[in-house]
Amino acid sequence: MMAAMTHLGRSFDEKQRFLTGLFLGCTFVGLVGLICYFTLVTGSDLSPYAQGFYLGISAGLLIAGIIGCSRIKKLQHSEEARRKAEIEWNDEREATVNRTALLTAGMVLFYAIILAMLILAPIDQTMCLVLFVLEMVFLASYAISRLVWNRVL
Amino acid sequence: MTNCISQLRKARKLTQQELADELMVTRQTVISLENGRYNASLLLAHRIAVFFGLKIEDIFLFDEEDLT
Repeated sequence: MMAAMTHLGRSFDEKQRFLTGLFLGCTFVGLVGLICYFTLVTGSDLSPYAQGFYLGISAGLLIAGIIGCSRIKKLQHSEEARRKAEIEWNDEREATVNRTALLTAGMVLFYAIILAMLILAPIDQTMCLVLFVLEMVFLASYAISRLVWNRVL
Repeated sequence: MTNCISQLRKARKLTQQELADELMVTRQTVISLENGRYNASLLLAHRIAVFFGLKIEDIFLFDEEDLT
């Protein structure tokens, strides 16, 4: 999904720079989160569930950042790996596959939210309203994207 | 739309990987093109035509229903 989302109109070098910044940011935020967890969160009156959630998010960000950075580092040192990654990045079928997968995921999400709204309506109206707003944001971003791409292409 | 990429590649005694390297695409793209599961963009079709020294219409053959 990340590949599909970062694929729009970027050259391979631009993508590498973008991803380097993204993964460094993930590492930094994850590290700060972990430090905060051990120094502040564990002694706070947050519920165990919320503390676990905090730890999970921080550790996940840190691990994702480290793995991402090491993969980019590997690309910079191996000419063969870089060539393969560049071909994969520029490959038009790969881009089509990514775009179609993202489109499918969007459609599935759209209908899944409607289904969740129907299930939640008699149980939790607030949650149902949140999902309704999300659905409206989805539709609005679709309409705006259509307008923009209609002008660009 | 059909194409004769597979025949042209075999005539030149190239593997799918070698052709993919020449065209700067993945091997999977060559496989999909040869099987007719994926239609090349105009740019890739041009690159393929230049590589084989032929015209695009000599490689990519349009069916009647493609044109209507």
